[in-house]
Amino acid sequence: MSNWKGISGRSFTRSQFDEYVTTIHLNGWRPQFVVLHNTGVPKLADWHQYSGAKRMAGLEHYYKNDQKWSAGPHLFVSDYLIWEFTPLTTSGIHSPSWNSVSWGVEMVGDYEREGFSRAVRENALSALAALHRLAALDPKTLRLHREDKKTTHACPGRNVSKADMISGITQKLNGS
Amino acid sequence: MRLGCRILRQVKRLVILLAAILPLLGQGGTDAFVHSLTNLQVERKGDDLTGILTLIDNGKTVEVAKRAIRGWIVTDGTRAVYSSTGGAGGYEGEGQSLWLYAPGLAPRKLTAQKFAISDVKEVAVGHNRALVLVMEDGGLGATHIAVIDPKRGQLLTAPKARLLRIDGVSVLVGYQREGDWEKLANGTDIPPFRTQSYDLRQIYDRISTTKSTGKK
Repeated sequence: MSNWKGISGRSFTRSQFDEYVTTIHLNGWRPQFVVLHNTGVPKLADWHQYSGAKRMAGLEHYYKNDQKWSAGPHLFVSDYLIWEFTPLTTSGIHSPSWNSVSWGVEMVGDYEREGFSRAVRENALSALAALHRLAALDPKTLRLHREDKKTTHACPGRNVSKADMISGITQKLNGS
Repeated sequence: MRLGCRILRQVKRLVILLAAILPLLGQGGTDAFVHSLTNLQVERKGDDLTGILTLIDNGKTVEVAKRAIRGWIVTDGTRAVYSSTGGAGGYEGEGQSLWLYAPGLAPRKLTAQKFAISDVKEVAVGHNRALVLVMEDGGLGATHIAVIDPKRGQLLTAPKARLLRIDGVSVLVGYQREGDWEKLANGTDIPPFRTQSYDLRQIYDRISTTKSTGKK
């Protein structure tokens, strides 16, 4: 039986998240890179059927009681808000080969089938830039979930380009 | 002369009888002597997860499914099973389903799982054929074992366990702790903290006892 690490469940706008990460101190666990995901299920088109708080509660139940994992990914990024799930100061569960060394960022949507939402992309780039700044990471270290040889599926979907995301994060970090 | 006619009549009856029975045997699935499946292939376009599954049945290429992920020939080359999308949810919707193909019949869904199906091994237990499914999740990276019977459904599950060995009708699995999976993914061999042997004959016996007595 895994010891559930708990969730933060807090939500932020882009500027609030920028401000929030400045209050985080990575004194213990420290990630070496970020792994980018998409939720697959639910799709972005279905995400707003429930409130964000309900989504967080449902996801907590799913990871804790169905999967019986000790944690889940760190962030869920929707078209409106950025949700912190597993606290950023501890390791999560999201990508087989890299769980102890990476943050997991889930973009809400199924980007194998849905077009990559502009709003999700903007929020994700902003959140990713904040994380890279916090841990002094090079955007080029960003990895996609599907690059993990031990994963089982095409995540975050063919409509998400790694080069585009790296370039977007770099631009945000450079203030442009 | 009369004897010859009688023999001819009997032969004719036998031929008619066989003509009536043979297609039924094929429908019922006891056509082991007719079909020989080989060369199972899944042809994908680019990075697609699914592709067209074809196999060769007695020299003739047969298209079995349009959206297959992996496939396995089972039951002495007379049947095939294949995985497809449409599982039971799972992490980022990775769950897969398993389908049975018997020549001449439409494929039948055997199970929907919440994990990806990476391997299927068939175990003969008397007249029964159990399918041992090795599954994986793409978050923790754990493997999960399930045993299903095409007629009876799921017989057992062993979550977060590795398939160590199949000895006759015994399935030996090893349970791992959560922290082990990442090390295993990165090539470090971590022994299981507990092993368990499941005797499939006992499981089938229990099922038939339950059926005959109605007791669980």
